[in-house]
Amino acid sequence: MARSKITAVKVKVKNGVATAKMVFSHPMMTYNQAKAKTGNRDDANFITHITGKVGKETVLDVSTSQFFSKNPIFKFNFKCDTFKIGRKLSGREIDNGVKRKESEKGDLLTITAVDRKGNTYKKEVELAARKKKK
Amino acid sequence: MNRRNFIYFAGSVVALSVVPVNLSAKDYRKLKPKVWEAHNIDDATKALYGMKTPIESDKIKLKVPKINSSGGAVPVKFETSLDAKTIALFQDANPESAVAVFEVNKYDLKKYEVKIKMGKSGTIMVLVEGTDGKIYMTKATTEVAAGGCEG
Repeated sequence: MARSKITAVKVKVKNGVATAKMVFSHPMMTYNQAKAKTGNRDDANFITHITGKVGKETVLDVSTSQFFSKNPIFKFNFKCDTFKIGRKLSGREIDNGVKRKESEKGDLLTITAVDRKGNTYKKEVELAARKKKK
Repeated sequence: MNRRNFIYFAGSVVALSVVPVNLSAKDYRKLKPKVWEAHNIDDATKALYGMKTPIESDKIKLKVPKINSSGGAVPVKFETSLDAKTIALFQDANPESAVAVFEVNKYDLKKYEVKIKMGKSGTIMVLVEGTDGKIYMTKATTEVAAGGCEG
C-alpha cells in the first residue's frame, strides 16, 4: 500500500481570494471495509481532521469522517487580502535563472491532517501570484 | 529554588500548557462523538444541533451530479452566503450519515468542494448553523449506478 501522505496542495490567488486544492493519498478505510478485509472493525483508518493555517490564523477547520472518497480531493476558498502574497516568477524569469528576493516571498499556508490512527500529515505551500501587468 | 523563582517557573509552565489549547482547533469528533455514530440524518442533526428543526433556505447552494457511474467518488460542491458558525455535510446512503463538520472562521468564504463515497443512491444534505442560532438546510438527491464502497 502506498504510504499515506498529503500528495499535493495547490493555491491560486486572485483578487484577494485564495483557492486551495489538496489531494491526499490515503486509503480512507471505513469500518465495514475494515471488517471485510481484516475482520476487525477497529482497523478502519481515515482522516478525521484537517486544519489550514496561515501564520497563526486558522483559515480552514474541518472534522471529517470515513465517507470522504479514497485518496480524497478537497477544495476550499478563503480571503487572503490580509496575508502577504509572494510574487510568482514567470517562465522567462525561471529560464533566465532569476532568483526571488527575500521580500518577494509570501506567507505559508500549512495544511495539517490527522487520521484515526493518530498519524499527522503536514504540507506547506506558499501564497503566491503572478504580478499584474499594468 | 526560592519562592520567587518557583512562581516564575510555575507561571511559565501554565502559560506553555495554555497556549496549545488556544491554538488548537475544535475537534467535533471529540466534542460530539454521537454525531459520527448516528445512522440517519435526523439523529445526526439532533446530536449536533439539539432539537432545533432546520429551516429550508435558498441561500445555501448545493451541487451534485444527477447520476454517478460509481459511488466511490461523488463530487459535492456547496456554498452559502449565510452568516454561519458551523456547516455540516450529511448523507443517508451509508451506514453512518455524517461526512464533515466545518468550523467557519473569519477568512472562510464558505465555499467547498469535496469528493465523498456513496454506498447507494441517496440524499445529500448541507446544514448551516447561523450566527442567529437558527439551523438552515438544503438537500439534493443523487443516483449511484454502482456503490463505491460497502459503507
